[in-house]
Amino acid sequence: MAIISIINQKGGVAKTTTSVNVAAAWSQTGKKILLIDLDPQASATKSIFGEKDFDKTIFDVLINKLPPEEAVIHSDVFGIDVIPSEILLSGVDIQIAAHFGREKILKQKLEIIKKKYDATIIDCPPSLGLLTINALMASRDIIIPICPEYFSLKGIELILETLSNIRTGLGHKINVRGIIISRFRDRKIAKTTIDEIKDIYGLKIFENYVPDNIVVEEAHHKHLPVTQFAPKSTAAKAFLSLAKEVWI
Amino acid sequence: MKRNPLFIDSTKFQGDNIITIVELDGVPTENGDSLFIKIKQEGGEDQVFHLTPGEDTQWKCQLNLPHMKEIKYYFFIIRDNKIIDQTPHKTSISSYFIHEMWTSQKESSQTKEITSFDRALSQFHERLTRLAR
Repeated sequence: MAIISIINQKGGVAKTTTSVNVAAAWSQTGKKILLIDLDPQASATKSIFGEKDFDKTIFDVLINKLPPEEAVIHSDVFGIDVIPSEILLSGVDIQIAAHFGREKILKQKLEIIKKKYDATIIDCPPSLGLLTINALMASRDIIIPICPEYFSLKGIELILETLSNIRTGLGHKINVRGIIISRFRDRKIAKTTIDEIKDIYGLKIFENYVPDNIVVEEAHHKHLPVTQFAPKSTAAKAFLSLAKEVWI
Repeated sequence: MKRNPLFIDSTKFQGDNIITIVELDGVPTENGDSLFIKIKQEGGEDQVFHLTPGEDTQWKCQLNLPHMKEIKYYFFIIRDNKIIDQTPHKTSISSYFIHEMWTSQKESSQTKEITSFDRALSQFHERLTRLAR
């Protein structure tokens, strides 16, 4: 039933990697998971299905009044249902800008379908616009993946400011479930940054860090979850433990 | 006052009635103190609302306000029927949530004094540097 957005306005922090691998790990434990790719670059869609094109995508759900159930594609490999994305999604902001209730379109569309799943994950675009606002308005919780480096602090600040603006201007309270440390390298700067995040923002940091490991990238190329592509790798073990830790 | 249109409720017109949650943190109250917010809406009269204590040092209340109108407000503490402290006056645009940290007007005026003192001090230093040249 829970809708969780994986968000960071900063790009390259492993939002898609986190979304697809956590979703797959949850499904391995018997959970029914829906993944919504809300990024116009369609990285999650491509990671799961390769270069395949889809007639019905999240674009049609948002713009063409398509019931979301009709856009759902099942991935046997990942064990999850997916609503794919496409590049047309990049123009959605302009198309819905004048809509009455433009910020709650996705929330309304998901009202019924979300009940069929134990959790719905939304892979957000790396920018702040109406798509991201729609994802946040539909979500109860967010998870923030970061690469532990100096600029990640700025990224967290931006997200917290966005959450505060949503609470103030749109009246919706969103819970930060926690921060996922991705592409972790055991270096002093990474540990310093993690300590700073704890001290400055008081946010929960999940204990299972995802290591910077080439198998994560290779798994995308093979359109497999890391846990299947390299089940014995540290990354696969990290995703399994992380998925368990992130689940409530 | 500038507002990002992304964070404006498109289902409400300006002036529509909305419920605003008010939360004030870090309030230095003692047992028996009462806390109020005095709020003036654009073109309206002053209204006073009572806040109730929440967790720790937080106080809160709910108000009915017109959406996206200018509001002016401040908080004050009453002890033994007297206002013992208040926050500085603030102007904002009404929306769904007001969250503030308690700042005493006294501290705020002290800060102003320090700021003007600092400015005077830096001007004095500048003059000294010029004279030294």
